[in-house]
Amino acid sequence: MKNKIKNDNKPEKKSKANSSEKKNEKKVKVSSFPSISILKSDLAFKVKVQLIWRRCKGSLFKIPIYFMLIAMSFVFLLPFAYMILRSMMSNTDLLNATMVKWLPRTIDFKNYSYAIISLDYWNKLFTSVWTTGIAVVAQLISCTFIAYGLARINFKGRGFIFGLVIFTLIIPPQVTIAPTYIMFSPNGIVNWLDTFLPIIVPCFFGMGLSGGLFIFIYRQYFKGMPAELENAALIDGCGIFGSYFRIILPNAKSPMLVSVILSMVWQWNNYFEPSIFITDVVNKGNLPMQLNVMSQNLGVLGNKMNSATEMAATFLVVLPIILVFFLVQNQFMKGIERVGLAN
Amino acid sequence: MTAAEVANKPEKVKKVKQKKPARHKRGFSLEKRRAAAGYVFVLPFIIGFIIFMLYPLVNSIIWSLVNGHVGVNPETGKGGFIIDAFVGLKNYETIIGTNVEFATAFLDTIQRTFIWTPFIIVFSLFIAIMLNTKIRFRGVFRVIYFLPVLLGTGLVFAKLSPVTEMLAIPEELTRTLAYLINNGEVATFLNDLLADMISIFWKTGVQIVIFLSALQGISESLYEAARVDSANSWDMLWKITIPMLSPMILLNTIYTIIDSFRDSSNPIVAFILRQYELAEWTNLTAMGWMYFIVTLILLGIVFAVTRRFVFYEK
Repeated sequence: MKNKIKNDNKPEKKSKANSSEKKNEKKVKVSSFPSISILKSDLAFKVKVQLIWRRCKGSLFKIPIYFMLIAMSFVFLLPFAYMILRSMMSNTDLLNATMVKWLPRTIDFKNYSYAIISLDYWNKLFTSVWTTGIAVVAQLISCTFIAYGLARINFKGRGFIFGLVIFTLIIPPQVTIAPTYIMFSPNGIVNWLDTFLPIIVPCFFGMGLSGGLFIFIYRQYFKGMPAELENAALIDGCGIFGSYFRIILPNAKSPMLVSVILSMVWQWNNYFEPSIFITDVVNKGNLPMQLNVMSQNLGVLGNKMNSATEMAATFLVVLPIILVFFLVQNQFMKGIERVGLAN
Repeated sequence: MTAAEVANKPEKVKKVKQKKPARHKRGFSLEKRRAAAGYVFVLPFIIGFIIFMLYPLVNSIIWSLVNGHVGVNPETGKGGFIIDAFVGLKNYETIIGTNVEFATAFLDTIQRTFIWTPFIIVFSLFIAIMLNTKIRFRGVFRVIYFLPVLLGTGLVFAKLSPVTEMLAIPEELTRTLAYLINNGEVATFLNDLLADMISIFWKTGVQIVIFLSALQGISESLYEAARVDSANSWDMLWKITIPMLSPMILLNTIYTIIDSFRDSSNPIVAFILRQYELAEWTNLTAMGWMYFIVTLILLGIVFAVTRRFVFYEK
C-alpha cells in the first residue's frame, strides 16, 4: 500500500520539480547576459539555493501537518493497541499493574481460547454474519431502488417523499421503539420476538438502520450522473427497469461500496434494537449481545475470566469487520472521494 | 380545442386523448409511464414508512397521552395495548414533576450535546482538511482515522474505557489550570472537557468521511483562480474551502446531534431502556417524545443560526 501511494505521488512531484527547473534555466539564460564570470557563479549559486528551496518549500510546510496527524492518530490507535496488547497478557502480568502497563511480558494466547468458549464464538459469529449479511443486501437493493426513483424520475410528490426519507433519519429510535415492540410481541400483530425479523424486514423497505442516509447518498450520486447515459439506453429500447439494472447500478459502484461498508459496520455493532427484540440472549443473541452478557458474568466464572479475556473477546467481536474493511479499504477510500457529497 | 377549454375540462381532455392515441401517443404516454414507474420505485419506501414508522409514531403519540396497559382485549379477543383512560399531558407532568433523576439526566444530555457538537465539527473539519492535502502515507492516516467508525459504537468503546483513564490529563496540568483560572466552576468545566476529549475525538469518524467526500467535490479551478490572484493557502481556506463546505458543516452538525440519540453512553437512552424493562409504556413514549421535541428545538436553533452562513452554489 505504501508503495502505491509513493508511486502516485512521485510523478507529480517530479513534474513540478521539472517545471521549476525549466523556469530557473530561463532565468539563468536571461540574467547571464552581462557575462561576467564572478557574477555568473554567484548567480548560479543563488539559483541553486532557490531551486533547493523551491523543492523543499512544499514539504517544509507539510511538517506541521505530519506532526499533527501523527500526534492525533495516537488517540485513535492507543485504544486499539490497548485492546490487542491487553488481550495477550497473562495473569501475572495483569496482577503486576505497576510494572506492566502496556506491553505484556509474556505473550499468552490462552485468553483467546477462553474468550471463544465464553462467547460461544462460532455459533454467535454465524448468527451475526447471516443477520448482518441479509440486512446489508436488503438495504443495498431497496435503497438503490428507491433512490433511483427519487433521483431520476419526475413525478408528483417526489419532494414530499424525499422529505419523509429525511424525516426517518431525524426520528430517534426511542420514540417508536415501544409501539414497534408491542407490534412484534405475542400480544401484537405478529409474534416476531426472539427473531431478527423486526430488524431485517424493515431493511427490505429502505428503512432499517440509517436506511434514510443511504437513500440520501445514492440519490445525490444518481442525480450527478449524466442524462445521456440513460437516454442512449432508452432509445435502444431498454425499459426503465432495465436501465436501472444495466446502466445505473453498474456505474454506481463507489456509493454502493461506501454504503455497504457503513451499513455492515452499523448492523454488526447494532446493540439497541436486538437487545429490545431478543430476550433469549444465550440461545439467539448475536456477538455484541453475548459480549455484554459475558462481561456481566465476569468474576462469577472464576479466575479464567479477567479483563484480558474480556479484551480478547472484544477483539474477536470486531475482528471480522476489521478484516473485511482492510480487504476493501483502498477501494472504500477512493469510493468516498468519488461519491462527492458536495452540491 | 382552445386553451380555455383545456383548463376548464381537464378530465374530458384526457378522455379525448385516450380516444385519439395516434397524435400524442409517443411523448405523452412515455412521460406518464415514466411517472408511473417512479411510483413503483418509491412504493417499497411508502409501504415501509407506513408500517414501520407512521404506525408506531401515531401509536406512540397516543400512548404518551393515555393511561393503559398491554394485554388481551376481552371484547374483541385481540391482543395489544389497551387504553384505560385519556389523561392528556399528565404523563409528561409526572415525569417532569416527580422524576428528578430523569430531569437531571435530561439536562446533562442536552448540555453535553451542546458542548460536544462544536468540538466534533471543528476537529473533524480540521482533520479532514489535513487528510486532503498531498502527503505521504495518506491512505494509512485515513484508515487510522476511520478506525473509530469500526470500533466506536457504544458497547465496544465502553469496553475500551480503561484506556481513556490511562490517557487522562496529568494531575499537574489540572492543578495548574485550577490555579491559573482561579474560578472553581470554570476549572471543573475545563477539566471535564479535557477528560472527554478522547470520547469527542472518537466520535469524529463519520464526519471526517463526509467532509473528505465533500472536499473532493470542490472544483480545483476555484483554487487555481485564487492562486492566480496570489491568494495564500490561509485565504483559500477561509474564502473557498469553508464557504464551499458550509452545507456539509450544517449536515454534519445535524448528524452529530441526531447521532447522540443512538449513543448507548447517553444517560437518556439508558433511562428509556429501564422503562422498557419495567414495561412502563406510557412513560417510555412520553420520555421519547420529550427528548425528541427538545432535540427538534435544538436543530431549529442550529438552522436559524447557521442559515446566514451557509452558502449554496446555486
